[in-house]
Amino acid sequence: MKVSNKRLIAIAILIIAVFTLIMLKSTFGGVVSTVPLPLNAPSGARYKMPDNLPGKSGGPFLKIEKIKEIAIKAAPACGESASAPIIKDIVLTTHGALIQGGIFSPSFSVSNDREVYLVTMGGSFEFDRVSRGVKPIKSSYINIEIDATNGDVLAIGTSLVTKDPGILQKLKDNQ
Amino acid sequence: MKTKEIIRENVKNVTCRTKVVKVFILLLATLLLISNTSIALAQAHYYAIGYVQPLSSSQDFLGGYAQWKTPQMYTTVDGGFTSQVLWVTTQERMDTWVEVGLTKGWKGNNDVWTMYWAENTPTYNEYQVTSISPGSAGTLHHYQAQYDAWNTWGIYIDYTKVGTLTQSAGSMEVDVGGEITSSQNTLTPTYPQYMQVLDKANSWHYWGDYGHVYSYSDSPFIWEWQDPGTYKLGKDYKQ
Repeated sequence: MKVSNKRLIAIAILIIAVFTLIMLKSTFGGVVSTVPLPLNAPSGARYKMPDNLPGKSGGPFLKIEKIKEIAIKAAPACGESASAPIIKDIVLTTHGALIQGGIFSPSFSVSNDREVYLVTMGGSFEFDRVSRGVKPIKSSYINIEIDATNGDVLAIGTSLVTKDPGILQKLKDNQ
Repeated sequence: MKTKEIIRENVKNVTCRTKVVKVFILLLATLLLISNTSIALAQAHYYAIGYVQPLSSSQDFLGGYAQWKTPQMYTTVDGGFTSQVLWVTTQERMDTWVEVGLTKGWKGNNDVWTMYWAENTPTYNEYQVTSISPGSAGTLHHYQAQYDAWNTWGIYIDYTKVGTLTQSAGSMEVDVGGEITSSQNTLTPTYPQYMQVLDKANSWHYWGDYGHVYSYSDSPFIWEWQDPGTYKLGKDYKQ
């Protein structure tokens, strides 16, 4: 059986490509970042993901009254004018669902299956942690992520995504 | 004649009263202004920072790094915060950024001593880091934010990823130092060091080698360079 030169070359290229892909995957598959470490990094240092993060606890979860208390306490800290903040909704969901829903960016203090409460609030809020020269950030709507098991305030922010009833319903369905 | 004089007198009185009313209103407005100013002063925001900007607009950064030992615990009394922070602006703008650091005071609780990170994309979010703890005074930690991939920034503490966010590349400024919400709070001496920026070719440089270095302080908080000209060791504290 004769195989043309062209076909041989094509097969060779295909084999090289597959081999290269396998090598790349094995080299970078578990790599957290391809950016070099800073100049003064100790030898042996490497980028890594945190391990042993708290995952699904299965409960018991904090009662809604306690969650309201935590949220109200957290909200005025956003600024001087958080006058009479109103809790709009409280949803029991998961950390991962809030990331998937685009409410918060990925953060790695708990696993994605950790049960959390999302509290949405209306009012007059001000965030003071700002870069030099930037005025405090004002918002009339905030989201607070509270660990359902231990009450840690994991995240707080101004995304308006949760104003979409469809998104909120998806989070509720996730309960 | 007498009637004319009476009318003239009345007109004078009315004019005089109008003037008194005007002066009264002016006084009231001044008092209100003073009171508002004093409220604004009470809510001032303080920085004690060193910062670096690119040598030219085309040499914008792709990340920032600093390390500091956990200081003696700060004191926060106002329901706000006393923080030690690394800020990296993003998207080639000054009003979008990512920050990572250490804070005394979190969400209205003066006693919380924790790591955190935050982003303004311009959607603003703050995240508590519970996977790494500040440790006792003297514990060294590394804080870092860098452009990891297309439109993706990674936030690291001790080379461990604590968050990712979606923003385009290009940092026009990297800042390090204290951010405090009240002059009544205490910023114990903290020594950020080995501050670096990441260039577009993915190489790290010390600030003094790759940018214009500045500092900024709001009294009673102070930023000082311990090695002016080299810019590898800073100090921020309350006077």
